[in-house]
Amino acid sequence: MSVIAYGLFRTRLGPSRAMLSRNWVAMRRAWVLVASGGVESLLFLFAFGFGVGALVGDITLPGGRTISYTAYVAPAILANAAMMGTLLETSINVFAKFKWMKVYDGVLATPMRPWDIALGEVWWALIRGGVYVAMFVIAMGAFGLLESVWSVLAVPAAVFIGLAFSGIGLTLATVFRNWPDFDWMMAIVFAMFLFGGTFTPVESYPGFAQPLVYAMPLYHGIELVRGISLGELGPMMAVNVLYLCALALAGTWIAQRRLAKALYK
Amino acid sequence: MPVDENEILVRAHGLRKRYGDFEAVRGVDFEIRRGEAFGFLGANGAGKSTTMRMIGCVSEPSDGALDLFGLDPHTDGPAIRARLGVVPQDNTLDNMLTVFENLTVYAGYFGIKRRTAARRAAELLEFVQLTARSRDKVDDLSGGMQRRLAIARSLINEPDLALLDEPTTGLDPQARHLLWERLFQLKQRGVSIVLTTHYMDEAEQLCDRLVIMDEGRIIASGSPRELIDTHVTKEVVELRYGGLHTTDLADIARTLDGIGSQVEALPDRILVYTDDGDDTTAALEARDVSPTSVLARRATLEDVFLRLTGRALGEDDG
Amino acid sequence: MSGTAATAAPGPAAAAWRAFQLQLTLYRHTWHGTVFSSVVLPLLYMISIGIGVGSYIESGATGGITYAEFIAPGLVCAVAVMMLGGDMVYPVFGGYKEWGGAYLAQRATPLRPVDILNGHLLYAVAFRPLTACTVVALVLAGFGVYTSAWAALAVPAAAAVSAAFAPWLFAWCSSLKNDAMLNAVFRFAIMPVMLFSGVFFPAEQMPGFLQPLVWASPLWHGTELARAATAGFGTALPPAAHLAYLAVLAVGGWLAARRVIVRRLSF
Ligand SMILES: Nc1ncnc2c1ncn2[C@@H]1O[C@H](COP(=O)(O)OP(=O)(O)OP(=O)(O)O)[C@@H](O)[C@H]1O
Ligand SMILES: [Mg+2]
Repeated sequence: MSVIAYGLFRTRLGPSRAMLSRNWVAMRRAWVLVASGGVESLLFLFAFGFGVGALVGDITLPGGRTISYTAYVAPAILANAAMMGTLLETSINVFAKFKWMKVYDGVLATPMRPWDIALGEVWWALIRGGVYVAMFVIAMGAFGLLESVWSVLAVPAAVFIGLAFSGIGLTLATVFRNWPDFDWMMAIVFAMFLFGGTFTPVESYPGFAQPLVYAMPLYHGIELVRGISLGELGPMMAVNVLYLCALALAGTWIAQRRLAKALYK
Repeated sequence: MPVDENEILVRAHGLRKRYGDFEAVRGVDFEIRRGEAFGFLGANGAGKSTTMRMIGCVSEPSDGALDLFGLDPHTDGPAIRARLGVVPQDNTLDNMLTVFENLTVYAGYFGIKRRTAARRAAELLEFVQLTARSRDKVDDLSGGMQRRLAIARSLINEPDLALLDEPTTGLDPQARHLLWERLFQLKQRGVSIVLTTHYMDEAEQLCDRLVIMDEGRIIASGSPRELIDTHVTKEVVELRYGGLHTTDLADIARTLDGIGSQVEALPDRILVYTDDGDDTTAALEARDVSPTSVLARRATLEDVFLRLTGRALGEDDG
Repeated sequence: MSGTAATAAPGPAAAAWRAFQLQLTLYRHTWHGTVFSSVVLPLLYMISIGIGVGSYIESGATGGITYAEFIAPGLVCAVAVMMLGGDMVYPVFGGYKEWGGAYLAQRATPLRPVDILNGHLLYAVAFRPLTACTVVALVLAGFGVYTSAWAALAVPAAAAVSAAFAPWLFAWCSSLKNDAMLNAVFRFAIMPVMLFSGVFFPAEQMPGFLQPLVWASPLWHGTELARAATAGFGTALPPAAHLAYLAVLAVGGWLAARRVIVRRLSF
């Protein structure tokens, strides 16, 4: 009677698309909110890039080149936006859907598997993050902060950062117990934002702090995006990419091990 | 019946579920056949919902064997769930979606095409009489309406087996009877139904077979009639005493020794189990215990339930 | 007020005090979670922006004082705004919810809606800034950013910002239907106020057409006052004018908030 659309399950992406479309339907009434998610990063850009930037004037890169402080800070804020976009979506929003809104309890009674749900959430996070990133890069271009046309490569680079953090986000969603845990995540994330080489070159940090900064995932994201948008490509960028790949793999691997356990009671 | 009645859809053997140190389900066996309505009865916390979740393949059994449609839940969970229609005890509706979207989005999880989903959603809303509310958010519905929506949602994939955890809790009498009718139709079309309920009349009406659970075990099973025949007498005489305290009732009950096959004092009345109500009523009058009212009636499933899971169980049998 | 009548119908002050007790009890459970946002975060801002970025800024750009001295008073006041983001957004919205809303529970007692409002405000605009901002002001003293003991006045300035801003947030969050909108409160109210009130860079740098927004921001007025206290800076307007503006905002906000809570809690 009801051998329903089994064909769909053969293509692995089918089920996760159903999750994605649920998010789309649920949020389309609040599209203004989704679309304005990029506003926060723009506010940071205006306050620190332009406001504080006007006080600083120009900054000399470790390589000796001098650029405006605004152009220096903007890519870092972009990398941060990419991280925050996916991290918040995959950690706290997934946690809220699973713990408070009980969205997945209904979904799990269908052929959907935990991993389909997770994948759907990752697509959704990447789409949202991608929209913010694109908005931000357009703003950067409008204010003349992009070095060359190649700088639009900052968009895929930023989406890649989002992907790298999505596994961690999902893992955190399974680790969180309640709201205060989320506060702690925000604390760590914000500390990375303030000290991940966002506002001043790591080389200007005291010696003991530098290794700490190199260990921060956001630092590698910032270096990658900054290098691309300033047109300063270097061998170190391969290290940045490798670090982020490792983060993506590790996060995803732990997440898929924990998710089924967290969701199936 | 259009289908083979003896085909077994669900087979459970020694099914157990542990939560840490606590064992919620302690080894249950049952079989559910195609086209039958199968009921789980039991006090709060007996393990009904836990068992239902294991049948629904959203909870991994800690031990024992479970087989649905000849498939193994461990490896074929998605394929099994594609053929199930589930109404969980707590609805699990999606609060961010409208009534209509709850059905269509849910259909998406089954991979049902959009147009089919929209058509079925409209039909089902008609069935649960929520068509007028289809654009409202779930939060704005009353508790009973949410329940009806959850029931409609469970039928969106035209399931072979419907798992209904207390489906009629919170429904008004009209909606309840309507649902019974619809469940009956489903059954006739060969859909099997597994339900839990706290309404004994519902269980008697709907279930071909049922089991009574207590503290994670099955303590009785059979058709409603069989259970009544096996566990209680044909009839029951109820004695009520307006205004008397529970302890007084127990005292009175003790003076009734020898009448009927068993006497039981409940907080508000005394039950005398007997095979012949008229005889017993006469005998009671002879004893001069002057109740405010006497009622002789047929024994029901409720009497079975109270005897098996109530306080009387330990006292009489232990 | 006689002793026996007190339990039946408390006066406004006693009632607000009782409502305040709830917030205090909740705070005992959650205070450790608030330490980051109310104490550690401003400290991190000071190190990263004040000292780190400050080392690239000449004092001429900030009116002859170091950049760290420039942002210290603003940070003390900004903490008050940040804390409102924790105390006046989710708790207010959730207060009316069937699932354990604190206001609904309080409403079933002799407390009147206005008492519930006053109790929550007492917590958010007096207790929180007077404790947390004091700690922040003391910690920042370790950076040697104050010129005189008058710096202590930065704390009441922060409380004044809180008093002017909190009731408006209360009114807004009380009238929200959808929790998705709570993000908008941060995005369109708290964040812009934090970032564009002359805390991190002089407000005169803002483009002219945005100046009116700066003048409207309670944090700008508070920061002007606090900077006068900690660095001996002249204020943009006479101090009395800044204070008067904050007082007007506070009273207007309180009236608005009272309207909303009375409407929400009258069934
Ligand atoms: N996720 C869980 N973790 C720990 N214990 C649980 C969990 N789920 C259920 N239990 C426990 O298992 C026991 C059986 O619960 P279950 O929900 O199956 O009862 P039930 O028969 O459906 O009761 P009710 O009639 O109240 O719905 C209860 O004691 C319950 O506390
Ligand atoms: Mg149950």
